[in-house]
Formats: sequence, structure tokens, C-alpha cells
Amino acid sequence: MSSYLLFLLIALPIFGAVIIMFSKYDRNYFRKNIYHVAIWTLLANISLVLYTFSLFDTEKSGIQLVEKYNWLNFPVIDILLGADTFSMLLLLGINIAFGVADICLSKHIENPKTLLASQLVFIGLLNGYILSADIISFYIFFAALSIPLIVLISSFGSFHKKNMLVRFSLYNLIGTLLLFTAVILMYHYKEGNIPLNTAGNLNLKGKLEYFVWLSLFFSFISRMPIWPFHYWIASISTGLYNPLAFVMSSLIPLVGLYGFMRFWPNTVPESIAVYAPLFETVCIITMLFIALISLNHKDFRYKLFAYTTVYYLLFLIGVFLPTSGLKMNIGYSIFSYLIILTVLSFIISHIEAEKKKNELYSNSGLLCYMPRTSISLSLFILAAIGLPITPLFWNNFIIISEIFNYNLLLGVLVMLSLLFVALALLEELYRMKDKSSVTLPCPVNTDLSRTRFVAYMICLAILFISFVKPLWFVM
Amino acid sequence: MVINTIVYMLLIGVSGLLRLHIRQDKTLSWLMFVIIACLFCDYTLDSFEDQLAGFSILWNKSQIGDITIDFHPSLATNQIIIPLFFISTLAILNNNIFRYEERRCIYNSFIIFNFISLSLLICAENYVQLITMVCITDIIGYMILRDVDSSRRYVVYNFFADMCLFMILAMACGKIQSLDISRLLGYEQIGRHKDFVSIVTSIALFIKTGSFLFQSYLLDIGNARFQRMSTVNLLSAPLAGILLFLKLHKLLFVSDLFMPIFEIMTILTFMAGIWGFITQRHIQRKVISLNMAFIGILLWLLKLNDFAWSENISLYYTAVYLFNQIYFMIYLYQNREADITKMVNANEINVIALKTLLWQIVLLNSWFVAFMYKTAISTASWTVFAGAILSVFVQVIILNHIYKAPQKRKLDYLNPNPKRVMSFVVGFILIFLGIYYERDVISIMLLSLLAVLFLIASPLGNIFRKIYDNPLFSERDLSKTFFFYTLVSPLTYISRTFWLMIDVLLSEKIITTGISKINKTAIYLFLKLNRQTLGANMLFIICGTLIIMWFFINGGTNE
Amino acid sequence: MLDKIISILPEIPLLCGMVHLCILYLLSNEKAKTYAATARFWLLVSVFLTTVCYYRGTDTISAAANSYTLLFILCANIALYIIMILSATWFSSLKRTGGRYYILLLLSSGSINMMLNTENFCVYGFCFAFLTVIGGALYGIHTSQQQINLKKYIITSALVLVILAIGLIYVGQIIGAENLTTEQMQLFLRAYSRKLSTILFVISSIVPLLYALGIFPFHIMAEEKACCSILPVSHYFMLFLPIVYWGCLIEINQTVYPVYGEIWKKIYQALALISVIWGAIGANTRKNLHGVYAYSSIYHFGIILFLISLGQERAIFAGFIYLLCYLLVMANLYAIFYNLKTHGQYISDIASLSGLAQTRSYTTGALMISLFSLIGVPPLIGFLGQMNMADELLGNANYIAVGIIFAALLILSKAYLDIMKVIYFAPKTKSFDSENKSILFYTSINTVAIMTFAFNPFNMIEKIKDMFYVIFL
Repeated sequence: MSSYLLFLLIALPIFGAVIIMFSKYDRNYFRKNIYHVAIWTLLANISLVLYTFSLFDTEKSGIQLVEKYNWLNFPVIDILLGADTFSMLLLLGINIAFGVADICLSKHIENPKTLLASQLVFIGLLNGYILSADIISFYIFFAALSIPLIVLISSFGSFHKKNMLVRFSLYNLIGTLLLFTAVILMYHYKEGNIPLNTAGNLNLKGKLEYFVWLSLFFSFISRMPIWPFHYWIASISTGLYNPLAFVMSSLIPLVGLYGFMRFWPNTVPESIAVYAPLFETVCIITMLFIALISLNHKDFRYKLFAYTTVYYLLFLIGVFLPTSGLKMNIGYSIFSYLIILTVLSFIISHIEAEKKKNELYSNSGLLCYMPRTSISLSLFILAAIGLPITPLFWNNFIIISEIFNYNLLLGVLVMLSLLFVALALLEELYRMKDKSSVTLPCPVNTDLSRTRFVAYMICLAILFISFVKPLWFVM
Repeated sequence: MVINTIVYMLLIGVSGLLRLHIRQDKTLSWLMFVIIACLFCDYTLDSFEDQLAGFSILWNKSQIGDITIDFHPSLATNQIIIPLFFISTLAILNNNIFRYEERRCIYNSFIIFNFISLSLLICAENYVQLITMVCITDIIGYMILRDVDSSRRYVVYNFFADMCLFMILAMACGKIQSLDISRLLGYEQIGRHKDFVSIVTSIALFIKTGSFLFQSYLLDIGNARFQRMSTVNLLSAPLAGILLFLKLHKLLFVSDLFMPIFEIMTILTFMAGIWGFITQRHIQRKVISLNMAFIGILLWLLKLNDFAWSENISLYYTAVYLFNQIYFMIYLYQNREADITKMVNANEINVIALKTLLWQIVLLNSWFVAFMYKTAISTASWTVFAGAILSVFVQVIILNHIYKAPQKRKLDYLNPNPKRVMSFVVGFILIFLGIYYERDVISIMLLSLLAVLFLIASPLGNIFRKIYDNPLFSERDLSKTFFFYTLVSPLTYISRTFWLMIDVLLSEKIITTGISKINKTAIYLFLKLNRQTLGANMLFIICGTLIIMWFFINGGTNE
Repeated sequence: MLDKIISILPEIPLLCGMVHLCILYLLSNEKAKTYAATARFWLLVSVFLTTVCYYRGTDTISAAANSYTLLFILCANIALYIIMILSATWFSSLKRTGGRYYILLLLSSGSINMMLNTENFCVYGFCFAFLTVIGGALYGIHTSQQQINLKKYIITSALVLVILAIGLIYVGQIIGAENLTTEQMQLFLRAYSRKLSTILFVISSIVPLLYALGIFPFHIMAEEKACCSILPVSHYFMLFLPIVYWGCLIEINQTVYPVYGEIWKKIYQALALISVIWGAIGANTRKNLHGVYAYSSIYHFGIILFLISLGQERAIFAGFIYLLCYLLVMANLYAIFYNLKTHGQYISDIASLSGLAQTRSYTTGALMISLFSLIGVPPLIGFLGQMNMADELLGNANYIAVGIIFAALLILSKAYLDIMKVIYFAPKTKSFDSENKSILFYTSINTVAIMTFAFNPFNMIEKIKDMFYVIFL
């Protein structure tokens, strides 16, 4: 079975999506059926990830499981899938996050079929992207990820931001085409498909080298909200009111980040690595100003977006550092970050939905009506801002210590950004808890359901256990 | 085995979090106290016999070293751990006696967890453990407060301080390339930006201790319940700040600027505390201010002792806890009247309890003066003694305000406060133990006793009573205003400017608008050229053919 | 004798089919489905015979028959078969028989067999003219709501046919009509490469094809044919004819290229790149789906032309793969048209698609996947074409061309995205008629093909390659 494990990790969610797409509409059981399909598919996938993990020696670095599939003979292309501890950790984080998301998803949303099928396709493709071990398959999954995202943004995006769809798609397409060009050039240079980790050994020369690496760089940047190209992703994120769609859109930068992680450390040639400080400067400018803006922004969703951006950029700066030892730390951090992000997104959506239902215009004091929501939000915001409940805390410590070791100013600015964005979240939390703002009589049934609350607490437990013992699920 | 003690405490703490029926809660809370008291005795006896074997657990690995959880008690660390253990046990006892929490077990659990995290902070040998424990202490403090209004600033200030510490430790760790705290000494040789490191660390620690300029968050927690406030004030963040001074002083000393700043801040903290104690109307805030003054003295004591804990400091800190406890009881027997100007004359209400408390506090103050006198002689520094005298003096004034209050209302219609006899017994035992311990300065103690009694009886307090009528002194928190104009306001403006300038104006919208315009121009040209008429069609075909022909005629062949 | 019979065997069923349709017409049969079924049946027989007897002997008309021509004939006839299936619903819904239409389709099937199999340029010219006439006849079929400009078609086509005739007659007079074969012409071109007669011949044989394919600057009528004709005819112009014309162009190119390689390359590349840009911009100006697809085809054909211009076997085959991918997607897009109806009226305006996603999720899904595929998003079939294209262009150091093609793709994508925007975001203004189940089934199959063919099932590409490479022997 192990020879098809990685393939199964990609195929299973897509298979689930196909089942959902062809599920028969029925007034009584339709929604229930497709939710069950989505949840069970994800649970099966999580089990598969855990099983795959059990085959790993977590002490070892590098790819430990490889699968090769023949694709084309003209031109000759073999698809290579591979997994290391880092990628499996990421996979687990993604699958758990979406598993929780599906459990907590409201059963009364519009277009459940589109949503859940797109979600499963997205997960399958994201799994593929993370598991791809050669340049062509890497590109295929990178580009293919746009499809479910565009469908989702089209179906669940804010009506007022319809032009955003065009911009989102065009930016994605630009990134895709750049990566495509770079990949084909590399393919041609070597006259064959090459494993990802050997991309740096190509010895490309002169303009070609610059072109290939700049294309790679910009293609990954196209997925990240980096100034001045940040506005579209902010608009998209803040316009998605469906929490699942929001989580998926929040994972777009992960695609860019993972691309950098695969290509940058140890792979990038010296002649390109010298430009790292320039990239870092852009990153830090973006981090700082998005964090500052979030301080003043009234929309909680924007604050969450700012939070995701700042953390992604922190990890990105970690990737740019001239050290290769941070990979696992970034992995652990992303693992917890994904789960936190998912839960926060759902809690915020719940609050917004209740606000709308009760025709309230402000968030102030809203949590006074919702004890469970209040507890969940408080705990997850504390976890999000890096207090020691999750692996985010000490792994960020290691990452930041390396940033300081590299450059003091960079470190200080990173810390300031983290501080501002954390203050923005805390400020919003306290605004929502402020008893003095409560003027209306208590609306009924506004709190989180027991199931959701339990699901969130299980997430917190997972995070806490991971904080104490990071790879606790590996025997 | 220390690990057993910690595990037992953790188990007790976790069991306390169970949601029990109120009667079971009561039983369990006493059971918790008994077990903790036993564990305290066991720990203390073992420490005297030097039988404490520590533990070290591998938490994780990183490229710059293993992250471990260390707990290796030594003589030096036990000097801190034992008094803290004692105070924590006392806090649990008081909680059980006064029943001021609906769920006593939960409160007890938090105190236990807090103690464990403080102990692990004291014994931390690596940065990650250190900063983790600092943060956990803060979180527990937040959990103890459980009050939105009062915890707001507490969270923000402590978070800011923790972030500063996080930053500095991360930086030190990066420079030294080791997680080992003992290697901090090496930072002076290899480290750079020494002034920056020292100043930022100092700021973080001053914030945590609630020093001058940063006392707002402590004053805010005055809105919480008295005991919660007191516990957080003495056992949570400020104490963690003091402990961090001990752990990180090597890092602080890398800059020559540290000592002058430290001295100035300590004096200002003390003065601000004294001033706050006199001017605040609210008794909880008064106590917070008094604690601030005590922390000022404590910091000075630490300075005199080369930033090492000592037995004297342990006694001092226990005394501070007792002061808090007595003020709490005064507040309690004043029928929970927090406003000092509204308190009833001690001859009118709960007379026995309040007078007993007066004797307790008078004795405690006398002991305090004598103790500080002894400390001043041993350290050859009279500054701390002067501070102690001043703090006792202001307490006398406030006691005068309370005990000789003009209000003579009979409050019989109120439920009589239950007499918690045991609390008085515990209080007296502790005070007499202290007196016995410091019996060599009994003459100073008697002298100060007389002085205190005289001053309370004198009309001196009336002079200061008018100060409460001036809202400028009693209500305004100047540090809040200071931070608003120096930090919050500029940040808000910068944030708005960024929003307008970068997020709206200087984003990719300019580029996309430009591209959009090019696209529109291209479409315009296309529509002009691409006419759908027959003539245009013919023209296109003929021109195309002719151009191809021209190319052929003028081009070459392969031959 | 047997040789002769075999050589015309595939055309006999087509003839029978036409007769059969005429009889049906005479019998006053009014069911479009019957006409379509009859036409399909005879076409199927013809295809079967074409496959079985693909070697047609040595006479002038069918001497060039080989697996390459078979490949194109098969592709074209499969496309025709699909057109016949789908068009039946169109005729049925308008209560028309479509007898004339199906007869003309069978006739054009026979013509393309001849056109592709012949090695004589005169026959080629005749077939091209015949197909143009058939096209005109089909273009003439219209509904009362449609306004067609048949005069424009006739005059423009006549001009192109004149260009074709000038070259063929001029050279035919010099070397004799019977000598206008591929081999002879190659010798002639080598011998008189700089002469006006040869240049005229080359131009006259290529320009009509470029016109038929809609390559810039011969593109105007291509849009008209797609937009103004009725849906089945538009389908025919957009799906069926391009296969045939590309097959011919590649064949002719093999004759001409060895002689005029460099100049040929420059002309092709210039036309290709302008077509790419023109097509991309043009698609953004159109408010009708037919118009968008027509300009989109100009863009895609520009790319194919560029690949052919490279003159290498791999590049030409990459062009063919690109064409196949494009046609598969186009087949789906046209199938979707048959299901886009409101109050019995077929719609093609982009604005009229508003709110489609809310009620017609399968159709929307198929449309979206097809558009994504045209953009070249993996793992859809369009990616396969795009990859082959980029592989060849970058392999030959055509960096600027790749840059232009990708920049144009971005512009073109905007046109596709505008369609998506209307489908998803525009408020629903009208209700759509219920979808035809059989068309939906066909669309689903086609969509699945778009999604899976990039995985190269049954090593299909290698098999196609074996058939295609015969042309280089």
C-alpha cells in the first residue's frame, strides 16, 4: 500500500469531490449526505496522513517516501511525489484545519455542493502541491489550485467586489505563467524533468539564471500579499463571508510561502541569494504597515487578514535567512497557525452572522451574550498572538532569534509588527467583551452550539499537546 | 523527589478545575489546602536536609540546542521558592477561610498553577522555559482576574512587556547561539547593541513590576475583587518581573546606562506609590499604590544585594502579603466599602474585628520598621529605612482616616460580617513569629509601636483628608494621559496615514489602473482598425496578400 | 478496377446518405432527428470504411492517403458526427427539418476526404472552392431573426478564390495541370524559387488557407461566419473546418518549407504574433460569446501557426496537439450553446448569461472548466497544449514570442473572466429553459475528457504521434 500512499492523499479528496458533485438532490437528506461525504473524506485523509507519518523516521531530514509515475513520453515527463517530515506536518495541519472547518460549518449555507466539492478539490490539489517533488508536478499543482479558488470566490465572494475576481485571477495567472516559463526553461536546460531539490544545481548562466529565478520569485510573490501587490488579496479575504471560503483564501499565501521554502533554502544560487535583503525589506515594509493599518481598522476580518499576512511574512523572512535549520520550526508554527486561523475564522463568522441576525451594527459588547464564543475567541486570540499554549510560541522564538542574529533592525521591526497586529486583535476582543457597550436586551440563541464549542476545545487540546510534544501523533 | 511534588501539585490543580457541587467544592478546597500544606512542609524539610533531586525533561530540539524543562532547586533558588510556596499556601488558606470565590477550588488551582510556573521560572536554565513561564504566569494572572474591565490594560501591558522580553531573549539567543541562560554573561563580550538590549529589557521589567509610568495596569485591576487584585499584584506579573530582574541582571548590566535608570525608576516608583496611597480614594487602589511603594523598596534592596534574593527579602515579601491581607480584612469589615471617604468610624461597625485588625497592622508596622532598621544596618544603606519609615508614616495617616472616620452611620440593617476567627489567629501567629524572629531589635519595635499608636491617635490625618476632595489628585492617572499623547495618539495617526497613503493610494491599483488604460486604448485602436465592412475586409485581404508577396520577393530562399 | 473501387469506397456511403436524405425530403419527413440520424449513420459507415481502407491506391486524387491524412479525416468526421448530434436539437426546437444542412455536411465530409488525400494542387484547389461554396450554402441557412451578409461572404470568398486560381492557373499553364503534384511542385520550386510564378503559386496555395482559418489579416470573415450564422453552421465553421484546413496547411508547408524556410518562417511568425495579439484584444471587445470564441480562435490559431513556422517535426506535432486540445474545448463550449435557452430562444449574448450559476450549475461548471482549459490551467487539457507549445518555443529560444503570447493570454483571460463575472455576479434577469438531458450528458462526457485527457490515457499521444509523423517520412 505504501507505494500509492502519496497518490491516495491527493486522489481521495478529489474522489470525495466527485461523489459530492454527483450526489442526487433530495430535500431531506441532500445536505446531510454531502456534509458526511466531506467530513468522512477528510477524516480518511487525516488517517492516511497519520499512517504515512508512522512510516517516517522523524529524526531524519530529507525526503523519505517517493513515488514515481510515468506521464508523458512526448515530451518525456515522469511525475515524482515525495514527502518529508516537514511536508507531512503541513499536510496534517491542512487536513485537520479543514476537518474542523467541515464539522463546524453551518448546514444552512447556500451552494453547499459547490463549496464542499471545491474545498475537497482544493485540499487534494494542495496536498499534491506539498507532495510534489519535481518541477513539472510542482507547477501543475501550483497552477491548478487557482481553479477551486476562482470558483469559490465567484460563488461566495462579495457581490460588490466582482472586479476583484478578475484581478485575483489575473494575478494568479501572471504568477502561474511566470512559474511555467521558469519550469519549462529548467526542463529544457536539463532536457528532462528534475527533482525540486536539485533545481539549484542547474548552473544556469547569465541572463537565463536571472530570468528563471526572478520568474520563480515573482510567481511565488504573486500568491502573497506583499506591498504594493497586497490590495487584491485583502479585498478578496475581507469580502468572503463564508468561513470556509475565507480559510481557503487565507491559504493562498501558503502556496507562495511553500514555493519559497522548496526553492529558496540551499537551492538558490549565490548570485541570486545576494538579493535576499531586498526581498526582506519589502516583506518588512508590508508587515509593518499592514499591522499598523489593522490597529485602526474597524473590521475584524481585516484584522484577521492582517494577522495572517504578518505571520506569513514572518515565516517568509525566516525562509530568506541564510540558514537552513529553521524548516521544522516553520513547519511546527504553520501547523498550529493553520488550526488557529480556521477556528478564528469560524468564530468571527459566527459573530458576524449573529450580528446580522439580530440587526446589531457594532461588535461592542457582543460577547457578553455569548459565553462559549467569548471563551473560544479569547483562548484562540491568545494562542494566535503567540502566548505559550501552542507550538507557535517557541518555534517563533527560534525563528525570531535567527532573524535577530541576522539583523537587529529587521528583528525589531518584525517584533513591532507582531506586537501591533496582536494589539489589534486584543483591542477588538476587548471591545467585544466590553460590558459597558451592552445596551440591547439579550438576543436568544446567539451562542456557539455545543458541538462547535467542543470541536474548538479539541483543537485547543491538539495545539496544547503539540506544544508539549510536537510530534505526539508519531509512535 | 521534586518531580513528585510538582506532579502532585499539578494533579491537585487539575482536580480543582472540575465543576463540582458547592458542598463538594468546599470539601475539596480544604483538602487541597491540606495537601498543599503537607507538600510545602515536605518540600521545606527536604530542602533543609538537602534531599531535593531536581529533574530535567527534554522538550524539544532545535538547531541552537535542546529545549528542556529544568527544575533543579538549590540553596539560592529555594530561598525564593519556599517563601513563595508559603505565601501561595497562605493564599489558598485565606481563600478557604473567607470564601470570597464562588468556586474556591478553581481559584486554588490557579494559585497552584501560578506557583508551579513561578518555580519553573526561578529554576529556568534556558530562554524558552524562562519566557514560557513568564507568559504562563501572565495568563494565570488573567484567569485569576476574570474581569474584562480590569484585565484590559493588564493584558496589553504585560503582553507588551512579554514581547519585549521575547525579542531580547530571541536576540541574545541568536547572538550567543545558545539557549543556555548561564551563557548570558558572555553577551557582554560578543553581544552588540548593548544599550538597546539593556534599555528594552529594563522597560519590559519595569512594566511587569508596575513601576512608575507603568502602574496604570495595576491601578486598573483595582476594579477587580480585592483578593484577586491582591493575588495578581503580589504573586503574578509584578513578582515575575522581580524574578526576571534576578534572572536577567547580567543582560541588564551590559549597558552602563542601566544602573542610573534603575535607581531613578526605583525612587520614582516608590514615590509614586506613596503619593498614590495618600491620594487615591479607593482602598484597592490605595493598596496597589502601597504595593508599588513596597516594590520600590524591594528593588532597592535587590540592588543592594547585587540582584540576589535573600532571606530578608523573603521576610519582607511575606510582610507585604500580610499588609495586603489586613487591608483586605479592613475593607471586608467595613462592609466592603471601597471609598475611603465613605468608611464608617471603627467604633460604629464591626468594632471587635476592626480593632483587632488595627492591633495587627500596628504590630506589623512596628515589626516592619524594626526589620528595615536591621536591614539598613546590615546593608549600610539608610535609604531603604527612610523608605520604610515613609511607608509606615503614610499608612498611619490612612489608618487614621479609616479608624477615625467622621461617618457614624449605624449599619445594623446590613448582614453582619461573619467573624473569621481563624484568619485573625493566622495573622497573629505570623506576626508574632516575625517578632520572635527579629527579637534582637525589640526595642526599635516597641519604639515604633508607640510612635505608630501616637500618630494614629493624633489629628495629623485630618490634614490630608482634604486631598480626597481634589479630583486632580485622586482620580487622574497621569501615566495614562502621558501614554495617550506619546504613544496611542501618534500610532493612530500613523496608522490612518498608512491606510490612506499606502493601502488606498500607493497600492497596485495604480499599476492596474495604468494597465487598464493601456488595455482600453488597445481596444479603442482595435475597434478603429477592425472595421466589419466589406471594403475593410477586402482591403485587409489584398494588403495582407501583397505584403506577403513583397516579403517573398525581397526575401531569400534556403537554396 | 478493385483498386479504383476501394479508392472511392469511403465516399460511396456519403453519396448514399445524400440520396437517402433526399428521399426523406421527398417523403416529406419533418423530423430533424431522423435527418440527423440518417446522416450520422452514413457518416459512420464512411468513417469505418475510411479507417479500414485508408490506403486508397495510387491515383492522383487519393495518392497522398496515409495515416496522417487518416488522422485528420477521423478527427474532422468525429467533429462532424458531434455536430450532427447536437444540431438535431436545434432544428427540432425550431421545428425545422435541417435536410439541406445535413446533405451539405455529408457533401463537405466527402470534400475533405478528397482534399486531404490528394497530392494534386488542382484537386486541392477545387476542393477548397467546393468547401467555400458549401460554406456559403450553409451560411445562407438562417432564421428570421438573424441578419446575414451573404453578399459579403460571396465577394470575399470570390476574392480569395481568385487569388487561389491565379497561382494554380499560372503555374498549371507552365508545367501542366497533371504535374501539379507535391513531388513535382517541390522540384519546380527548387528550380525556380525566385520566379514570380512560383511565388504566386506559393501565395495562392497558402493565403486561402490562412483566410479560412482566420489568421490576421484575413480574419474579418471568420468572426462573421461564427457570429452571424445559425448555431449549427457556426459550430461547423468553428469545429469542423479548422481541422481540415490545418491538415492541409501542414501538408503544403512540408512542400514549401524546404525551399522558402527562412522567409516563410518570418512571415508566419509575424502573422502568428499579430494574430495572437489581435485575437486577444478582439475577444475583449465582443459582447457575444460567438464573437469572443471567434477571436479566441484567432489567438489560438496564431500560436499553432507560430509552432508550424518553426519547421521542426516536434514543433509541428506540438502545434497539432495544441489544435486537438483547443478543438476538444471548443467542442464543449459549442455543446453548451445548445443548452443555453430562454423562452425557447437560443442565447449567445454575454449579458444574457447573468445569473446562470444560480440555476444551471452543471452548465456553468462545464463552461468554467472549458474556459480554464483555454487559459491553459493544469491539469486540464489546455495545459497539455500549452506545455507542448512552451516547450518548443522556449527550446528554440523564442523568448520574445513566449512573452507576447503570455501577455496576450492575460488580455484574453480578461475576456473569459468577464464572462465568469456575468455568470456569477450579475443579477439574474431571466429564467433559463430546462437543460436537454442528452446534451447535458454529452457536455459531461466532454468535460470529463477535458479534465482527464491531459493524463494521457492509453498512451494516446504516442499513438497520435505515430500516425502524425508519417508526414515527415
